[in-house]
Amino acid sequence: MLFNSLDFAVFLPVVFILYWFVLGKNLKSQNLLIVVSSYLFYGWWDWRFLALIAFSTLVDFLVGIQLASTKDSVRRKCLLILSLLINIGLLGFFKYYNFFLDNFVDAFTFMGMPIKENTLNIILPVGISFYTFQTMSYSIDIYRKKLEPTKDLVAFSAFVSFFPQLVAGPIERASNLLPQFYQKRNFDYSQATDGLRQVLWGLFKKIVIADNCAEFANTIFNNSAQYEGSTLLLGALFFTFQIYGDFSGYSDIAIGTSRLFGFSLMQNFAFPYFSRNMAEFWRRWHISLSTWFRDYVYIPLGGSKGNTLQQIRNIFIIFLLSGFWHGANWTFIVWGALNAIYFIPLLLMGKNRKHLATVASDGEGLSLKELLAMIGTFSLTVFSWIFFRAENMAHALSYISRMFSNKLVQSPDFSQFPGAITLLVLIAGFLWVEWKGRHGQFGIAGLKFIPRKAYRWSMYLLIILAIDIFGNTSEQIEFIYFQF
Amino acid sequence: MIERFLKNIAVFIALLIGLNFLLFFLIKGFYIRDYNDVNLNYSSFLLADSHGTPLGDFTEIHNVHNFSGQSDSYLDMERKLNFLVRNTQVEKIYISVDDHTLSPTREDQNNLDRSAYYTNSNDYANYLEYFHEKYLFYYCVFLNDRYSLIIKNFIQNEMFNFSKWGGVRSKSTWESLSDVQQEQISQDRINNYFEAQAPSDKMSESLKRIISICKDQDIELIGLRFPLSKTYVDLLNEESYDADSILTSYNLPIIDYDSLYLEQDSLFRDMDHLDRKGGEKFAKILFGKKKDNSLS
Repeated sequence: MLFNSLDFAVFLPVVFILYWFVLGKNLKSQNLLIVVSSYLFYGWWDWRFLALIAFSTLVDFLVGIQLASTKDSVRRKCLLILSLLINIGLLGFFKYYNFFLDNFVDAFTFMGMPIKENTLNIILPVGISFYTFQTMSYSIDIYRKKLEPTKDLVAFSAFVSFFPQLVAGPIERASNLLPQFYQKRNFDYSQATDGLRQVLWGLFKKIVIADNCAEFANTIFNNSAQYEGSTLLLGALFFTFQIYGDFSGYSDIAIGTSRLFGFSLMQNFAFPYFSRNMAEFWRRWHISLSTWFRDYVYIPLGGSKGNTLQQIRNIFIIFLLSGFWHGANWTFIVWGALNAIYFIPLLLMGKNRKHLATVASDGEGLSLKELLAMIGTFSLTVFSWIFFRAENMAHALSYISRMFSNKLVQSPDFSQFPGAITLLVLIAGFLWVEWKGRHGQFGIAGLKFIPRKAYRWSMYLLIILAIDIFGNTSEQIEFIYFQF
Repeated sequence: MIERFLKNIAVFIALLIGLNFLLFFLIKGFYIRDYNDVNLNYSSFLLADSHGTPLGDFTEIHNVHNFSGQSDSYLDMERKLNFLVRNTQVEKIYISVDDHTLSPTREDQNNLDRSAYYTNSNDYANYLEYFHEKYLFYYCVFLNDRYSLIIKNFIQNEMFNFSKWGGVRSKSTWESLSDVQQEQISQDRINNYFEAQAPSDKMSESLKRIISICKDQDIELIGLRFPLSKTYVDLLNEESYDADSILTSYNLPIIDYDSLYLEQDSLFRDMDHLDRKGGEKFAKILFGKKKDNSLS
């Protein structure tokens, strides 16, 4: 079920009413309702893969209990390896089987030993990368004795399948989300209205910014050989805002929806396009995944400790893994490598912990130096997104070479893209709102501080109107991150 | 707490409904406008899409009411015909059977949101569909994508169209365009309408139902092919979804004027639409006395 669908518009109020009015006094029943509605939400897409979630849930639930019941370190290690093998095995099979097979076949063919290819027609289950990472973190935390295992299967199932964040995150840690399923929830007016505000902003980002950008970005990327450099740059820019609007929009809707049910999820995006260097960007982009890799891969590898070579190795490993996590394609791996290359000089110069605070938060406004740093970081990001969006490496390289060699510094021919100027104006307005709201959790979080209800509500109506008029509702466009 | 939340939600929804009606009246002003105007004091009517609109009120001199609507599909014309049958004594219908009228593009680009005005519950398979089309879709601006698109296009054309900045608002006439420009625009039009190999089933079925209604009600039905510009005809070549052949298969007459003004670009607004002057001239020829030569 898509957040931007009529199905969800009916589903959400029904679950909300059942949750607070019918089962409001019974925690277990509320959790059970979450499990049932989450399975319904997921099954709406493809019910066959519900078994996969149930299996993953059961494995980690049992592994968790077993881990806590034994002190034998070998047995504990075996149990953890079992959990990791099953989760990574599922992910590997559904997501990477054909990729590895293709590359083996190519490698053998290259060495003059052609082998027969038996690719499988595998459907990638939506959200598998998200919920497997979530369940893995549970087992790892218990193994590290940072978390007590739960004996409540319903609560654990609700934690794994919690519908707002099931298919595209944020990837929650058990230590943050699971305890919330044990606590009695009381309806909090402020939290609920904040949630609705965040849902509204998420819908704006998705339907107005991302889906409109998608139309132009797809046209330009799919026909890149026909366009001049400046148009290709415009295509890359549109994709830059598409992916941000799409993914952060999803996160906003997920976090906002969770708030309606009394849950607090972690912030997943913190205005990344206002970053002043790539290290800051990665502290602000897809935070739940970055911190997952930091806690479960980077730090165990030694993190920023060790000699220079080890530090560089660790950075490369997490960025390559991050790229590979996004999909079985060399373009994602190169995208990851490129970001590692951006990051490493900052690490070596000791500047990776610079800019921890939000830009221009000292009350003195934005300095020219900060502005240039933001533009520089943004440009690097736009460039790296070309690899992320391209169909394959050949496409990415031809896109880039054509972009830089052919009339880059001229105005794109807007007559080929009716509506593109309107969209650029909308993006400018969107950036202005995000800039104003950059100290909050999301772009319009600050609206709650406007004392007069009439002004506040006028803003909400204006946003709804903008979604209705400018939203791309010609078709329901899936969220990009569903494919990951 | 939750009561306060629900109360605020209810008030907000009420405000949204209010905003919806405000927008509806705006939309009604510049989109629905005269689409709902029909003069029932006639017995002959012209049903066509934008090919018929340039004829304006000039048809009325010849006692034919022009009931054409820009982008009208056969489904819209069928609704209008049913409305006429219910509300007046119809004797004669002229209907557009141009090359593109059975196009799947016309099926997509229709006026079903506006022509719902002319329907009643008998025109729908069930009450749910009736309620949805006639009321929900018609009055709810937030649920009607066409309304949103119209507002969006209006804003885009008025505010973000470079060619309009600086007060330049002139529009070239068809005859002032170069051959290359005429060919390019005509080709775009052809690509838009004749992309699919086969005609739309929905359009074909609807045209057959129109024929059947006319037969049942003893209404004289005459097919009509509107004048086209030379550039367009040359490029169109043999492309056609053959709406006229459906009528001829029922032994119904066709008035074919598509080659009438091949050498008179000054009468055209674009490649296949007459301008007002052309519409006036064509109405005289079409509904005047001399039309027997074109009957096939």
